[in-house]
Amino acid sequence: LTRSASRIRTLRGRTWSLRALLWLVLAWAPAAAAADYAVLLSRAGGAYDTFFDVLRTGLPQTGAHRLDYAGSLDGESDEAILGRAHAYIAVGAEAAERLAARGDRPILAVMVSSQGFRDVQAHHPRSTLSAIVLDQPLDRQMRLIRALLPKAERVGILLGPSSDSLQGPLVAAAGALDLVATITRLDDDSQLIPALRQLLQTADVMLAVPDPVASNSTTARPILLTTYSYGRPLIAYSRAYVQAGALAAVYSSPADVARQVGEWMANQPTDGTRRSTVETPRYFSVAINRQVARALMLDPPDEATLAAAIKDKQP
Amino acid sequence: MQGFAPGNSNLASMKVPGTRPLAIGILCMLLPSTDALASSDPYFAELPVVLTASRMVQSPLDAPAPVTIIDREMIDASGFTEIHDLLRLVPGFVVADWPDGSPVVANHGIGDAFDRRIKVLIDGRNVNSPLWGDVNWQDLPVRVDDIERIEVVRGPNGAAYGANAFQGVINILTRSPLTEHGVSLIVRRDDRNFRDAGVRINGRTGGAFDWRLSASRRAADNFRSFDGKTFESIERDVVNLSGVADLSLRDELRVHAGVVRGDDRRGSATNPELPARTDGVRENYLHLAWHRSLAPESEFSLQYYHQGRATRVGWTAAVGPFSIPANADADTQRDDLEFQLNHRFSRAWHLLWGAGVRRDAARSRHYFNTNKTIAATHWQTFGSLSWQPTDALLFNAGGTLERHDYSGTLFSPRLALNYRLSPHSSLRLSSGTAYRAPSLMESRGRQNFEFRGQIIFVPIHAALPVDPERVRYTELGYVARLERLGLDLDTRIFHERYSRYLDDRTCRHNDRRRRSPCSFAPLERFNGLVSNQTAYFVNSGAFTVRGLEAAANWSRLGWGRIVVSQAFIEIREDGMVSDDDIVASAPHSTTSILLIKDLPWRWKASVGYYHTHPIVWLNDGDRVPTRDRYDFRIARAFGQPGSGDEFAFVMQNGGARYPDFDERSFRHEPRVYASLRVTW
Repeated sequence: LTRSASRIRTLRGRTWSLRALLWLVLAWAPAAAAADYAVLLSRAGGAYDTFFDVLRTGLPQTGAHRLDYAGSLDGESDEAILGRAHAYIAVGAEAAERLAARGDRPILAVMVSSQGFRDVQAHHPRSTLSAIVLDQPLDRQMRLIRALLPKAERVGILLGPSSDSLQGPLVAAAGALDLVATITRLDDDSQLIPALRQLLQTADVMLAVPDPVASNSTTARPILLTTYSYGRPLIAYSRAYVQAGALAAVYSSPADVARQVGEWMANQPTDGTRRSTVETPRYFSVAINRQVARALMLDPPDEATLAAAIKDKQP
Repeated sequence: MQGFAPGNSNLASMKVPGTRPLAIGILCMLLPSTDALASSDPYFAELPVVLTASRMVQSPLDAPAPVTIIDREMIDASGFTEIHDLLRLVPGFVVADWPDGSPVVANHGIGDAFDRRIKVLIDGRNVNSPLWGDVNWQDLPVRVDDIERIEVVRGPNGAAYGANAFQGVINILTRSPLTEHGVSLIVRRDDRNFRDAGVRINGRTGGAFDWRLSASRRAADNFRSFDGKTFESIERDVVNLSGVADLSLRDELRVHAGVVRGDDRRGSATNPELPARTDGVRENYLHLAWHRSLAPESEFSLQYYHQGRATRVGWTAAVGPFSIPANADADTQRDDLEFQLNHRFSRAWHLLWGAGVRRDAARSRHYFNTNKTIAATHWQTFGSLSWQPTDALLFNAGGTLERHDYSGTLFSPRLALNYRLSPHSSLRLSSGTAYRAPSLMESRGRQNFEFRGQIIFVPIHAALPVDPERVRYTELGYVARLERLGLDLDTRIFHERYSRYLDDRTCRHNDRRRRSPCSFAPLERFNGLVSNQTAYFVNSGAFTVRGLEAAANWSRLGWGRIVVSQAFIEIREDGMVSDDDIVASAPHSTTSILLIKDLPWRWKASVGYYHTHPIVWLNDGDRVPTRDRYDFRIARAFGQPGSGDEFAFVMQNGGARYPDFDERSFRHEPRVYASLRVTW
């Protein structure tokens, strides 16, 4: 992923001695040549800005990698910076889409859902795309449910066409914690209310999984109101959902993601190796809606305690 | 807990100064599309705050007052088709119906034909009548099918809801249009004269305005002629629009509007003074509420509502040799504006405060002896501050300061302490004072019958100044959720001291034998042709009510649910009561049990048991002996799971007639009906 890497191509076919010399140079490269990452935001402001600020301030100034801010899609993007970068960090799915269309550099997509990332991959199969996705591992979500509701037996989950593939993994993750996942698949949102009611007749708790049909900005209101009317808690996937009325969520904040990106960069070889990797969030936060907890007569521990309680077990 | 604190009413004229079904259509055009809320990254998409304080129930562990919730499942399982009947499920509450007026609901005694001591709100809109302060239960513009839940404060709560939250507050919350879908048809009928058909249509307009239009028509013979007393058959048409508009991520506008039309056939087959007649009622309302989320636990609300009610009551009374045309028409209106701020400063401090102003108006020659409109303005400010210094301790200080045109300035304070015994159980100690301001009738009433330009009879003449009734109360409660058992408990003992009880007395004008002469002058043009006796109001008597209430709610998914309530109540007088019946006006024991059982093949059965010890209903009512009532319901769901499609059979009171309100006079008709609900 370095300038040296692209040079490798041009050298291909030349003499072995040259190639040996080059490998020698590359061995010293981390100290010698800093790699430039151009960062492009899908939108300026909000979570994306926070991510970039944390990433920039947290990165060692003398590291092997340098960050260059290339702007945002809704503002101006700096072609010069993009042109001289060795690789891109795309913040948000739209930025990943735009940069993948250029097809000229390896890309690390961050602050994207795995579904959003898969869509970009599908559109640009030839791009070298890596990602740190926002989707929390399912077992971590189930651990949160268990920590909040030790007596819960059944988790109700609505899936849509694009999240349907999670059915098996969700059942397995729930089963590992003695929970039964009851899953209904929606083909379109016209059947949202009946499907929800059906689930709520047997579920102790609902788990929202992002899906363009089953769980999005529009369906959040009926889901929250209906779930509350049955006196059941909803576990969601974002801080905004918790503020809207979900009981709790495990999520990665921009700072959590920035920390992982920093580590990812530090571990990147500068030898030009291009492997597409997809990492799940290593760092996460827990959000609790105290007002909702009180209304449901629940008394959850504080967020830090919960976050510690659901940490991944060290192998 | 309170949606909106104050509020009240109904009203208006047959040519009712109509509700202005405002420009709801225009509203739709002004709304932003929710597409703006969408984001391709669901994890960072912004969302509106949906579960605000006004949408949720305060945890009973933290509430400064005893609260019972009647939820959707209980409403369905009870088989009740009328809202007042649902209150049988609340510990200590008693319900009665009679043919000459609205059904009545009472708590802790002194119930009569005008249940003016319990404040009733629908989505924060006060529906107690400006005329009598009572609730016309059968004319409410909502049906049981519209209700999401009913929150009942089982005691005085003037500190949060102002005057007239005297013996309780019933807050009816309607279902959000967002929680329903499609079109539903509901039909109920029995083999006699109970017919009930309703339709509910849900939709979304402009991408951000969710609405529901519901309409129903029902007819029922509630009472047949018994022992020469009056009968009653009712017919009601109810149309309602309920809408929620997202103005932005933080702003929501809730719109409710509706119309009720009714005709009641009532009267006596044998009493020529009260022959069979048809009473007409028209009601309309418009209610707008703007809610802004300021922070996760901070919300500002501003609401306005208008209510109008018109009753048309006319008959010809045969009195001796005279045929006297009687007319008891009345038009009332209420306009109310109020704001409320709910704010949590920190984990320890929470504040709720607000203020409002209201105008009640009434016009009735029959009730006020004038063709002019009588109006009264009322303003109030209320606040409640909670302080939680430790996890276990929660203090709450609240109060309402209000001023009525016809009862002066009142301050209703309350102090409460909740002490957590464990994360899921707490003790509550609260004490306060609440008032009931006299109604327009009690302060300005001049009910009269005219004949040939003369006033021949004055049933009510509120000639003397009266003070608000007062109650001082103290209670100790215990609330627990026993999670392992799936059991919620709510119990309390209470002590209430009532004073300045507003009673009616009778006196006579110009009586030849000088029997109980009136201390005030008769109305002009009074000749007493029919009677020289008149009733007036005085503050009289003080008494103490004490008792114990307990409720248990056990449920298990897949098995079913049992909801039990029990109350023991005793009224004690210490020589300051003018009417001995007051002591017997609360049953010593009331019990309700609702058993809901899930059965295989999508069947569901429920049994309701309601027990009341003997009670004496005051004034128009009388003694009713011990009653045990059994209601049965069996239902089967069909169609798509969760759709709500269902048919059911319901048997109320075991299918038998029962004495109600006055055992010597009234027998309520039983009901055995079938119902069908289909959604598509």
